[in-house]
Amino acid sequence: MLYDILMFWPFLLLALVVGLVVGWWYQDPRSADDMTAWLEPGPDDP
Amino acid sequence: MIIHFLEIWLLVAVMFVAGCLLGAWLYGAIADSRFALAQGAVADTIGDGLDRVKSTFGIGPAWRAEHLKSVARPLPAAATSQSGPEADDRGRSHFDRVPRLSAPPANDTPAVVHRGSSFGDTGETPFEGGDPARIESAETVSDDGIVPRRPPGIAAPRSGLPDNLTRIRGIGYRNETALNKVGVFHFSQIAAWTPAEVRWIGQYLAFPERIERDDWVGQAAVLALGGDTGFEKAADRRRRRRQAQHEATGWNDGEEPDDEQ
Repeated sequence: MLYDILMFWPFLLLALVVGLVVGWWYQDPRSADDMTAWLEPGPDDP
Repeated sequence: MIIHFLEIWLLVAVMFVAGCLLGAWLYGAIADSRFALAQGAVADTIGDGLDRVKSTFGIGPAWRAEHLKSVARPLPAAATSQSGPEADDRGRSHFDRVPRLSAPPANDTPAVVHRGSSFGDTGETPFEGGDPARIESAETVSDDGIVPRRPPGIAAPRSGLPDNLTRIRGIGYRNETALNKVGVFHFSQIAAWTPAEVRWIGQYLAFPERIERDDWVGQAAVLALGGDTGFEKAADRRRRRRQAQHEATGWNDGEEPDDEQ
């Protein structure tokens, strides 16, 4: 386990940062609208 | 080898989840602190930047203008021949005119007074259209005993122009279109919804509890009176900024500013 952490720490750090961004975005009330807008296709979409 | 591989991915997953929890906690902690305003400003800046990038690549939302064209009706002669400040707006886009049409004159009684009836004594004909399958599901009575009731709708927007319902947080293109189909075009209509009507619409849109959570009724009440809820979609923010730039540079040629593409 320690070997993995030492060898792959950049990837672990990246996962932590990505998680942090996702967690932050999830809490942000703007995300509800972003998600709504993202899920709602426009008239040009199939 | 396989176990080693799984171990690495497990570690990555654990770090991701830890990051999610940390991010959520950090957001809440900062939102409760004196840095909340800065937090909002940074979020807006990032959002604007992302929108600009999307616009550059032509993947921004362009549906709003098309949608308005599809539901808008020609203004009656009386409206088009008016004079005064409203008349000065005729050359501008629908986006800029619509909210003002909802605002009552300064000394007038607010439009939002008819709880349970969105159109009061205006003489408008109730509208009964909509998707039959959705209507059927909307009328399902849930366990809490609230009997859904269809809110009064109108066949066409008043004065030929619908309100920009997407100014309400939680309403995007699809929900706005669905609301228009059941005769809801104006903030004043939404502001007059009763809990039973909210339940009906929530079930019709297949958007359970979202209306209550986002307080569409409260938002609509503010917007119907010409107020500002503080919520503005990034596209609207950008449009307003562009309009301000046009006005600062003497734009008054009666053409609509380009919408985001």
